[in-house]
Amino acid sequence: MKTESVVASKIEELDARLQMEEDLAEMLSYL
Amino acid sequence: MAVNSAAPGLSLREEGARCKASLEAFTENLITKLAVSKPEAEQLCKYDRSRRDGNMYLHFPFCFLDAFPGVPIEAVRIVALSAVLWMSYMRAQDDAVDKNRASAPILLFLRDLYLRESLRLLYTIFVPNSKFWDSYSAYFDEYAYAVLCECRKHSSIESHYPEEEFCAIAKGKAAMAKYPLAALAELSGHHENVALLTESLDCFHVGYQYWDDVVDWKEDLASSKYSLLLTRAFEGMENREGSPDELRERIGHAVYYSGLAEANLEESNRWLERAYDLSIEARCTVWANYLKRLQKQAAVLADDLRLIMTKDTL
Repeated sequence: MKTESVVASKIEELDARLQMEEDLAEMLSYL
Repeated sequence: MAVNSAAPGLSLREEGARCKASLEAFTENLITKLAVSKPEAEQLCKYDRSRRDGNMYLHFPFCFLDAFPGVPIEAVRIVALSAVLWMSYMRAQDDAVDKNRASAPILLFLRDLYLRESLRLLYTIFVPNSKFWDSYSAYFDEYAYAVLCECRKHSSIESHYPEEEFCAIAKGKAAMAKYPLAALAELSGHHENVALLTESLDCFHVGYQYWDDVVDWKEDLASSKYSLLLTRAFEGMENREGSPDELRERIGHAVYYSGLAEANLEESNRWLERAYDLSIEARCTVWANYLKRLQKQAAVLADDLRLIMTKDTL
């Protein structure tokens, strides 16, 4: 069972991975 | 990148840069003509700058020339500039309809002038009774309906969000991206691929929205924009109380660990695949390549998220 701190650190890592998509999002953004 | 065999030597990036330069020149001219103060001028320029160099919509009509051969390059450039002016209009309109922000009078004038110039350009290539205007009106109505629907139902309130409504809003908000296709069809006399390509665009905008809702969930939460993803995350939460940081953490847990992000990326993949198939059927390879690129990127993202969640942490 994962501890809360492990999950929190993974969520930070997941957020950081999403940040990497933002360049492409801007290139394709219509709105 | 060359556009296609139908237009050898054209560069999408150069066409986009040309279009953006014309847009900025238009705004600069207004700033001078209307004696706009420096702080206000800064505000006005933000709409133009919001299109980063390389943004696909700066050279949008050029992506579809495969399907509409024989259109003179100057006419394609007029359609491209008109569409970019429309997008700046739309950004200004978004600010104007946002109840939480009061739009300065100069911004309202700028918004109207963007639309006026966008239309003036189109009237240089289409007579008033051209069938093009029927398509333009239909796309405008679709756009307006979607914006109002999203405003009424999904701004700052949590409401039920049926999937069909999500799709209709995603298609509708970008419905005006379809008028360059109608324009190219009218100019080239080739109408046979319009239905395939407009459907491809609709599918792309739905696929893009599923993907973008994952990428932007924190920003959407911060601005109280209740996307389908966030609505589902809230629906699964028993306790919605707490500080903004606590709420963000719980939403993050729901987005990643309840399979919501994964499901969104799967849906995105499905819609992009459909958009790609339609584009290939219309033999529009430049547009198809864009779609494939996004589809691959979304698949890599889904793999990476899965990997991060399942790997052992020391």
